[in-house]
Amino acid sequence: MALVLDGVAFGLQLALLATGLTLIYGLAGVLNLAHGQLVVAAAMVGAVALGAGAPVLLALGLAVVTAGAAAVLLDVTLLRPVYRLRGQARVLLSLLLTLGVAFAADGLLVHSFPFTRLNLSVATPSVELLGVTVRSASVVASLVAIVALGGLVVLLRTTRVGRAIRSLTQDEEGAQLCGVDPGRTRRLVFVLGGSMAGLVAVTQGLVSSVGATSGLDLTIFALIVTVVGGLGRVSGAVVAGVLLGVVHAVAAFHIGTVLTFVILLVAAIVVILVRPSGILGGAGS
Amino acid sequence: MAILELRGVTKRFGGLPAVDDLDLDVAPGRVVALIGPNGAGKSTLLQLINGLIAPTTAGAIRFEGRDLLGRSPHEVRRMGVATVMQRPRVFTSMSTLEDVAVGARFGGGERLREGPATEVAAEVLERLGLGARRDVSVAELTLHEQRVLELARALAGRPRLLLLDEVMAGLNPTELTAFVELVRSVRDDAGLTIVWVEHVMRAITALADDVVVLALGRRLAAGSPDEVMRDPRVIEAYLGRGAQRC
Amino acid sequence: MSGPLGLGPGGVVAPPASSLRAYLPIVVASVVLALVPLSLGGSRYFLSLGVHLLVVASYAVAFNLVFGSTSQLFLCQGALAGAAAYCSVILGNRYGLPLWLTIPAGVGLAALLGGGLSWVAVSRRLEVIYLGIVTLAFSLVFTNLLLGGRELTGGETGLVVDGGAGTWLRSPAAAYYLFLALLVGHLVVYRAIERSRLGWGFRALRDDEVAAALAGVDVARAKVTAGVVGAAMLGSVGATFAAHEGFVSPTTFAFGEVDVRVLVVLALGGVGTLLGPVVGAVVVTVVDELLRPLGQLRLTVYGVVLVVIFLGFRQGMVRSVRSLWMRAGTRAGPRTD
Repeated sequence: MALVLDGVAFGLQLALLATGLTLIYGLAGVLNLAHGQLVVAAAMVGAVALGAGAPVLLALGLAVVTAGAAAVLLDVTLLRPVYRLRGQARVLLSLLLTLGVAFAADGLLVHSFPFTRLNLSVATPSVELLGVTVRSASVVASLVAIVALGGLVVLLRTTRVGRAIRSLTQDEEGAQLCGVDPGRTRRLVFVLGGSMAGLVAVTQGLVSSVGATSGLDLTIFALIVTVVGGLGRVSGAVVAGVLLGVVHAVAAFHIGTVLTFVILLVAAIVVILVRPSGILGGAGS
Repeated sequence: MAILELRGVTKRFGGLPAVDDLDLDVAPGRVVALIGPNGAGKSTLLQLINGLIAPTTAGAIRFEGRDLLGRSPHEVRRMGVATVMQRPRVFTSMSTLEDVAVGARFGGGERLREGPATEVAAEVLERLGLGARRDVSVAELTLHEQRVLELARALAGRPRLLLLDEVMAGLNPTELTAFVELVRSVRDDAGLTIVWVEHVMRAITALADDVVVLALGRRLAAGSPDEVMRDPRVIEAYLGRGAQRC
Repeated sequence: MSGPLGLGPGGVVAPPASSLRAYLPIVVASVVLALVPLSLGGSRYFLSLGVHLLVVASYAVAFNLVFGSTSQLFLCQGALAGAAAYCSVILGNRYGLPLWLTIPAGVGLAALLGGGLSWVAVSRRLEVIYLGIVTLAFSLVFTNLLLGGRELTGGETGLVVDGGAGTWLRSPAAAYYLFLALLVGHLVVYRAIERSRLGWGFRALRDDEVAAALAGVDVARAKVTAGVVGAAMLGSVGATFAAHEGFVSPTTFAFGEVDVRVLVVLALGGVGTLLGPVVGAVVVTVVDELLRPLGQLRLTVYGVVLVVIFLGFRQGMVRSVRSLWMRAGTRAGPRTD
């Protein structure tokens, strides 16, 4: 039971990480391989601000804003030529460009902050939950993730902007015909997706810590969850995140982290081959 | 004896039949036009024959007595069935001659080497009146020229059955007349059988021997162009077609 | 636009028709590369640098065949080379088999894996992004299995290679010429395929897969062939490199070590060009050495180079130089007439 709760907590982090990636892919056709670096950038800004004596909430707010701003910056600068392409060519070019951005950012971050870590897990008291003792930091992190994910779902389902995002995700040209401005909506989605990545820095900082070298691993985890949930499906990413989080916790306890990682990777491969639209989607292409 | 036989061909997409229990016999040397409102299943039918959509939900498709179902597009092509698509899909890194030579080298039953394939390609381009453009990059050709190029690539593999998918769409009246004449001369020269999906009625009356009308994946009517055009069911099916988009 | 999914260069890029002109660039490049050690006085440091250059160039030729010729985004160069290397080393160390048996066995395994990945991609009709993710996941699975399978692979510390110990293989100068021979072999295979019937099929399917299939090209077979041959190239270099170094570890073949570099090399040299991998490898190796003091920032430089290339300079160096040359030629043309 403790393992399952741990897993759900970790899964909510994964979900938070993956929704940002999947949201951007679904709307813009950009698979942002620099997603993990957004998290790291946010974490570094947060850690530096905290180190300079800024109040915790301000520092964390800065962290989230940094990731959102970095994402939208990417959208309006480097990715602009990408949107002139369609379909497969767009996906491929964005993949290669963001891979380059990921390397560039990784080198810069590791160089500039070799020893900085965002660590918010200041001796938090433990609490009883469902008969199990859990760290309150973990509870807070999970609550943050739940609120953020819930907020995102409400935004997508009920607001005008949300409808615009969903219609663009389904049919870019059709939505344009019906008066949706793709550029504006896309910028919004990059802000949203980037901010979700920034939140991951905060929640990860609560339960463990984020260092400058975590970028690639975070991107890989985001990719796995996104693929298992179905590329571009927010609800799929949430379900897949929690599911894989539990699998991760249980498997890591029994067979160690290395083989657990292999299991997650194989899960992603199997989903792509058997059910490319993700665990919630229909079978076949 | 029919060169192409369809028996009970059915294809559903997510439960909706695009082609529904269709029978069709095409005699050698005939030009058979398939017409019908949008969504009637015409293009689906062509793609079932050439292997781009595979396999069918039910039924059989035979060409010269051999089964086509479950074969991939290149196998169908090498058996003697060539296709010209509605939207030209040309090899943009190639010259016109090279593009057509691909058809000669891979499309025919026998394996041609580079030299002979290029010769065949040059010959076909000459015959279709595109000889002067043979060394131009295909990306520089007009829509009409790209259609002729696709026809040339199809013919370079010496097919016995030619599938044409709305190849007259988007051509201006002069180009249309020229293209109709081109297809007619090709048919007369090579004794080709042609199955042809088309919306442009002028071209159909000029060229088709038989017309088959499809609606909702089923055969609505069949006969000579004149008979079919006067058929009240056909007129209704066309008038009944609704607006397409928002 | 042509090249992988319209990302490559525009313009007509057929291999030269005459055999002499087709293979001349390989001859010139190999003569130049063969003279390099002599001009540098055979220093150990430069020779080992040279070996790394030749290895990455050979990897890039393989990637050029798989990605450049058939648009299959394999993000597992390192894993395929590593599979061959580990297979060869383990067979040699455990069963005392000689290198001339273990290296081909490793190459065979790599070819099987590469062909298998291509086959899966073709039969499941994977779009480029899904193949990219599958092969990336394959890379990471490979690395983690190496780390986890301690008894067989030595885990993080790796394995000392018994085969080839104390032979000429471990001498830098001999190894340099061995890897040069491998590279030349790869280039010859690449060009021969380019000029063959298969190469015609590659060009057609790279431009438009549906049109190629409708014209009679067996797209599935062409792609799987590219996967098999490319993986065999990677495997031959990986297994030989292990025998030369006398040591293998997961980092030798890690994604960040091999694939990233190969991508930069090929992008810089020019996807789909014969000598792009060689030119790219020379530039990257030299720049890498010059930037050594920068430490982690080198990665940033690679990243920026990738971004710049894919944003504006997509033809790569080989083609840019060639078009400059041709422009100069046409300008000079009327005067000489």
